[in-house]
Amino acid sequence: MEPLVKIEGLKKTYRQGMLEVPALQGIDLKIRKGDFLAFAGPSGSGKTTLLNLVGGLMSPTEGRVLIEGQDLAELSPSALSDLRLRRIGFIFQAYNLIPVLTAYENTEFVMMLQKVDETVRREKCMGLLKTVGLEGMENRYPRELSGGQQQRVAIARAIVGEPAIVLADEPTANLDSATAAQLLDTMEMLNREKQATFIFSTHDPAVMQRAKTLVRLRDGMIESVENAACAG
Amino acid sequence: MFKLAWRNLWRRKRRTAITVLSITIGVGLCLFYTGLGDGMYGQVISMAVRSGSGHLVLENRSYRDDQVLKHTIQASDELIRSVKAVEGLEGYSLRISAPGMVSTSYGTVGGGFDAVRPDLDKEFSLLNRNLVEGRYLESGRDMIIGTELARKLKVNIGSKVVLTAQDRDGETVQDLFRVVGTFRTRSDMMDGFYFQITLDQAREMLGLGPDDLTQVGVYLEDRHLQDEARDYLERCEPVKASGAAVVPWQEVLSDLANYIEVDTASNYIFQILLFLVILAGVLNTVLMSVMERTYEFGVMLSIGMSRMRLLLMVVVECAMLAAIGTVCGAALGWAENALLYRYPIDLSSYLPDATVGGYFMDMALQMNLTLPHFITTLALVFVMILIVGVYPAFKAARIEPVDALHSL
Repeated sequence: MEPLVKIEGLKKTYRQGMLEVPALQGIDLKIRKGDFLAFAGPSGSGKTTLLNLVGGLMSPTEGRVLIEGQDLAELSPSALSDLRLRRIGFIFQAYNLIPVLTAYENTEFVMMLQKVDETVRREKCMGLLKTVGLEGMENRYPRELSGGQQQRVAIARAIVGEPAIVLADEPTANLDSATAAQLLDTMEMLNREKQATFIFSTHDPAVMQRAKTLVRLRDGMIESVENAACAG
Repeated sequence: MFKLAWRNLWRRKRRTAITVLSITIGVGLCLFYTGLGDGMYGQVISMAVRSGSGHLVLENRSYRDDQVLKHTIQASDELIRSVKAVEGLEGYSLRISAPGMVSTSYGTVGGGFDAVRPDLDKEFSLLNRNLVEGRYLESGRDMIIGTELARKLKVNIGSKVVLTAQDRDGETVQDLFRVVGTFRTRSDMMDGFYFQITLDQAREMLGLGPDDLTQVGVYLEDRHLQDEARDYLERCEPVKASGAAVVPWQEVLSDLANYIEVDTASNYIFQILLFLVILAGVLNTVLMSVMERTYEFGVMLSIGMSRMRLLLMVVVECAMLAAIGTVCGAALGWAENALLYRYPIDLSSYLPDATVGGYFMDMALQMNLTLPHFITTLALVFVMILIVGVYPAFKAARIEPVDALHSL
């Protein structure tokens, strides 16, 4: 069966003035559909870089990333943008909602970009906000929500467009452990019920504990792959 | 996108309000100067054309370069009918213009005169309106002169004067006239060196035929009808047959036209400078608003918003800012115009003898903004603000999502 994400010989080097800093030094990995995978490792191990490369937010120095068989390097900027819109959902560490839009409008934003009909949008967004535990808070602006609630809106926004993959960069980093646990419950539920594939970059032991696949990185290389992922 | 742009605009209410206010004041000032120019020029042009020329002048094609009496036109009935059929005609004047000298026992003054038909000119003649003593021309040997000329020659109403001029063959001829009125226009040229006599007497004195004229002056109700009237007259068969050229007042009163052109250009330069200052404020607002949303734009691009859509969103924000400012500025300009049209600012006590291009100007500053100028000013302002907004929009669209996400 074709893996959802296939990473081949991935290298990324940052240039800082005259200095070249290797962030990834050859990553090979296959991620299957429906996985709940976490990249873990110390700071500077390359977790976020790897996540950004999978999300097509940057291009690799060497190697390639294939999503559903499509090499990201072959896509034009607009095609890449469209791929992110339709096949990838993003959850960021914090402050990632548009402050002038309400919880409902933030959730709806992706579907508006996808040009989905308003009736469908309404039904889906309201349902999803209920699922993530924000029923009755649809009309609140981000400033009127707690950190955990804001992150729930972000999860709803990431999942509403029915992407193949949800990329979450340290989603629990700014939350207390109880809120983080609730959020992880929600994401696990979405993974289970909607078959959404979650890929995390994290320091959080709670996330690592719940991951079906845990990929440990060190110095830009895979140190270990635990559970069900197939190391290349 | 419009909802998002609108809300973005009002994130920093005070900043947006100040920018809108600066655009409003800028537009209001531009419209004020434009309207004042329109009002002032309209007034000067109106006074100048009523001092003699008319909005359009029919004259012999050689007359402009060689203003002597051999270059006349024939005022046939057909030609006069064509003139009467001009749309928006206020009146017309049949005249002979020539240089001449007026003499009394106290001295001689050289100047210029128009011989006119009093029944035609009386209604709209500026001289008739500015008579300070006596009456307007009626018939025969009547002459009206400026107060300054009357002072130099020491003449009063009823005094006899001798006019010396050259006939169509260049021979010197003389005739006796009686001063029936004196006028004061406050133009040195008009008051000191100009006079009017009757057309019939001038023809007799100068040996001209009953239809001979140097010019037919065409006066319009609205100076903006001039181009249409000119086109019409140039197409008229009787005008073509007479060999007459249809000359606009800008050529007849070229000094005044040049003055207005230069003054208008300097007005535009002032307005451009004024607006550059305001545009710098607008650029600052939009640029700041883009810079402080770098992270947010990074999020938007990451979740799939296209760069073009992001660019459009910023342009729409700028268009909204421009629209609000322009509409408020238009309202301010309209109010200024309504107020200063009805209640002109009277500066006559400060500038009693002000002239523009040699013509007296009534120093009541009146705004009379024309619709084309109103629309052009607003459109220019709107477009300029939009152009200014394109740079921050491009800057926003060129943000790299990864860099932006690290900008917090």
